[in-house]
This record gives sequence, C-alpha cells and structure tokens, in this order.
Amino acid sequence: MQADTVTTARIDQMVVAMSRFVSDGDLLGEGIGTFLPNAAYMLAKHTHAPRCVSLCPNGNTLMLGTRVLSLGRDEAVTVPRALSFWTYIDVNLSYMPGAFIGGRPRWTEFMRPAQVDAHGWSNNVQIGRDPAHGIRLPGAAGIPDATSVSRRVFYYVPRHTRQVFTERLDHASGVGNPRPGEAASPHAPKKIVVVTELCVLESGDDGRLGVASLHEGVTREAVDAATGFELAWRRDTPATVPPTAAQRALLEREIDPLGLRFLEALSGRDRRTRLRELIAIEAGAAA
Amino acid sequence: MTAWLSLEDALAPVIHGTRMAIGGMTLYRRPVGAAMALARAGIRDLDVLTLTAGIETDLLIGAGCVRVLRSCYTGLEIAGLAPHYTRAARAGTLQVVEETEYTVSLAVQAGAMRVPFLPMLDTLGATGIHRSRPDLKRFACPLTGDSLVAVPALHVDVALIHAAAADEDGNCWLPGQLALDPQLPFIATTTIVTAERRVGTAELLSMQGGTRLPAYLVDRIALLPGGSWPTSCHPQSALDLAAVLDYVDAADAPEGLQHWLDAAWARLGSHTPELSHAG
Repeated sequence: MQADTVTTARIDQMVVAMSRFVSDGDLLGEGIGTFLPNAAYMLAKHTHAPRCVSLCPNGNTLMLGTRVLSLGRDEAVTVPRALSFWTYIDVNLSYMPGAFIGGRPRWTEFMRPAQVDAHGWSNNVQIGRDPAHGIRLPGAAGIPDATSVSRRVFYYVPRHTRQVFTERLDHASGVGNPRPGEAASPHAPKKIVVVTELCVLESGDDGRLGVASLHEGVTREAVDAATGFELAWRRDTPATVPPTAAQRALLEREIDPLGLRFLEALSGRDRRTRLRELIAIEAGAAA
Repeated sequence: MTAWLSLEDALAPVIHGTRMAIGGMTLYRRPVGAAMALARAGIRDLDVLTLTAGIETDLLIGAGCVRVLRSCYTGLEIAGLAPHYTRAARAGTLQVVEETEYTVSLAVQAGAMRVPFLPMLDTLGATGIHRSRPDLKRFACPLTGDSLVAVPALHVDVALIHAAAADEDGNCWLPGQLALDPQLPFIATTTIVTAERRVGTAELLSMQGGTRLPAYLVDRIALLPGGSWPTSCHPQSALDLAAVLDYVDAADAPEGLQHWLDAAWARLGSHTPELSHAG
C-alpha cells in the first residue's frame, strides 16, 4: 500500500512549497505525528533556515538542528538533545501568546484542517451539523488560540477535495478573515496560506482564498473541480517552484528515507496497513 | 510520606462519578495500566479532564467508564481517530466538552492559584466554542474596559499519572513530555501515581530534567512496570505503534476491545504477578 508515484511527487512538491514559507530564525511548531510539515521544517533547516528552532511535541522540547524522521525513535532522538523542556502551562501561558500575536520570535506552523472555507476559516471539531449523524473529530487543540490572534496562518491539505474545501463549515474552530457583511476586523485581512497537493492558496486583499501557484501538471479545471467554493484566480497563475534534485536528495537521504511524509496522503485502513509495513522496515533497519 | 500500595489499593479513591485528571500526552507516558484496572473494576460515570486524550481515555470510553470528557484533542496521532470516542460521541453516550489548549491550561492554572477564573482575550467569539460553553463568560476588564473571557478554574477528585521512576518516599521522575503533569496535583484532592521503576534517591537525583513531582504532592503510588504500554515511557520504552494499530483494528469487532484488553492485562501481569490473581 505504498503511495503511487504521482502522489509521492505531489507530496514532495508540498514539502518544498511549505519549506519556502519558513524564514531563518523562525520558531517552528511541529505537530503530533505530522511528518509532512516536519519534513518541510527539516528541509528549511538543512537549506536556507539553519537557525530555526522547533517546538517538538514528543517532549515539548525546544530543538536545534535537524534529525532523521522516524516512527519509533523520535522521542529517544530528541529528548536527550533538547534545549529546554516545557509543560503546557509554559507553552500556553508564557511562550506562545506573544509569538502568536506577533513579534519575536516569528512563529511558523503548518496545521491540518478537516474543513476550510473561502475566507480561511477552519473546522477540526465536528463533521456534520447533527452529532448523531456526523463525526466528532479529535478537536482543534491550539488552532483556535493561535489563529484568533495571528496575522499569518498556515495550513496544509494533502487531499484537496470538495469535502475539505467547503462553502459552509459544519463548525468553526480556526479563525479566518471576516466574511462579507461581518464586522470588519480592525486590522487588514490576515495572510492565510493553504498548501495542497494541487496548488498553493493564499488570501488576497479581500480576505478570500485565491490560487497563488499551480503545481506542475495540475490544471485550473482540476483545482476548481476539487474545491467547493469559488476561488479567486489571477490572469496568469504561476507554476509552483518545483523541487530541485538537491532537495529531493536531502528528503530521501537525510530527512525522511522511510517516506513517512507520504503517510498523510493515506487514511483509515490503508494508512494502518502502510504503517505496519513501515514499522517492519524500521525494525529491520535497526537490527 | 507517600504510601506504596498494590495497584488495586492505590486506585481505591476512584469510584463511580469521580472527577479524574489523566496525565501524559497523546501516546506518551499515559497511565494505560491503571486505566485498564479501572475498566476491569467496572467504574462508571467518570468525568475525565486531560489536555489531550489518547488510548488510555479511549479504552475507558469503550469500557463504558466515562460520562464526560474534557480535552482539546482526542486521537491516536498517526494511527488515526480514537475509535471508541468517535463511536460514543456519535451515540450520544459521551458528553464531550469543547476545549482549546488555552482554556485547559488557564482552567488548571486558575485551579492551582485558587482563584475562580483566569482571563483570556475575547478572540474566540466567531468560533463555535461559545455556543457549547456558556460557562466561558465575557466580562469588561476593570482596567481597560476591553471585553475579556473568564475561564473557570477546574478541580478534580483524583489526578492519575504514570511516572518513569520514583524513589522510596514517592518523589517522581517525569522525563520527556511533561504535558500538564507537574500541575495536575495542584488541582486534585488525591494524586495517584503508577511508577515504571522504583529507584534510590541518589539515582533519581541524577536523572535528566529533575523530578518535577515531589513526594509531598503524591498521595498513593503503585509500582507498575509496563504501566504506560503501548504508549511510551521514555527512556525505558518507546511507543509500541503496532499495538496501537492492533487496538484500532480490534475496535471493528464486537468483542475486539475486550480481547485486546485481556491480552494487554496479561502482558501487564507478566511484570507484576499479583495482578493476575486479581482476575
């Protein structure tokens, strides 16, 4: 149940596109079991942003440098080399409020939404309006806290579909830009970026998401067909800068030789099957 | 001084309807063995507080032990949705209280400070949380007049934590992911710890990061090697992801959870023979 070559190429395109939004010195928020953005952070640290630090959730450790992504060894690799250890009181009541609101350090974190609407609002709480017929999702964790005050919000969506990009959210948990008729924010619209396996979306001056660049081999029709609301298009949409041979080599050799970043393109039983294969491969490599 | 007890005796304060905070984080150092013991004891109507809920909470939900769950994330990381949580939320047998990282952290900190609430910026108004949380009340800041949100303090009957090591007196070592573990005893009437290892104080003091949980905050403690499996207990043991996948697959069959729990209990009993006799 390995991902096919079109999917793997598009995931690598996502990783490279995401890494380009990282600036040197950023505080990077690693997710929980989210190998795709973690691969992007490592790529940025290997190339143009070596002085970034990561807040790594498998210890709430502040981590310098890069590491090889692994399924079973990440805690052992990170915790003994941590710059510091935080509780969630430290994270949420001391370190992050100022970083989310803006200032020093600059915070960059790619979060994965279950639903996104045209103005960049997101939902990670509930699919379906009626709980008895819907799905209660894991929850939004810190996404509401961060997106409600941050001027820059980054999301990634490895499966660009009309179910994710929807006209109407079933529940709002991530804060986007004001919709027409809603009280305007005292600020200019925040910058919302969504990197998908088809394209890069960015919010414009009106706060609505539009297509900033198209990945190689993807048509405008394909993106429109996979999006449940009308996207803003410019006259000449540029192509997303593709991965270089050097970036591919870093991903395959130094960052993610197992291909954990491709797991997020799979779901349910397919993902569990692939995880079992990867567990066996990792155990074999360690033996 | 903390009393070292059998697992069953240590868990005696957890009864029907107990408000219980659970330590650890998603799939790191969760008190899974203690949760299995509570499931076997048939405890009902638990009101669970945990920053993030993982397999320990999901198995308690699957065993019918939980009435209310407060957390800002409930899931099994890369292994996917927590199956029994998802099912119980849909069936309406579990009340899920929507939280964020800030609301849980502020509620715990307020509890620790013995103040009725702590304030939060009034920025979540356009999200859905105020619809489901009328207890998050707006008020005018007495200093600036700006609207703020009061996050009510939380208190629990029991805090349940798995420690990587503890000494004779009950000083506990919490390495790696701390979650809210150092703070949970401040808001709990009784703190119960299961310990992976029992070590001398000199060895405890040499461990990375310090103890983080002094004995005076620990009321009851039980030695329970393997007590966080299949979640990790750094540096003793890594996450057993294959066992988590087995757990998810087992949830598809009617007796699947029970079979998984029986095997997991037998595994726990192989380290602590007294458990096997508890049946």
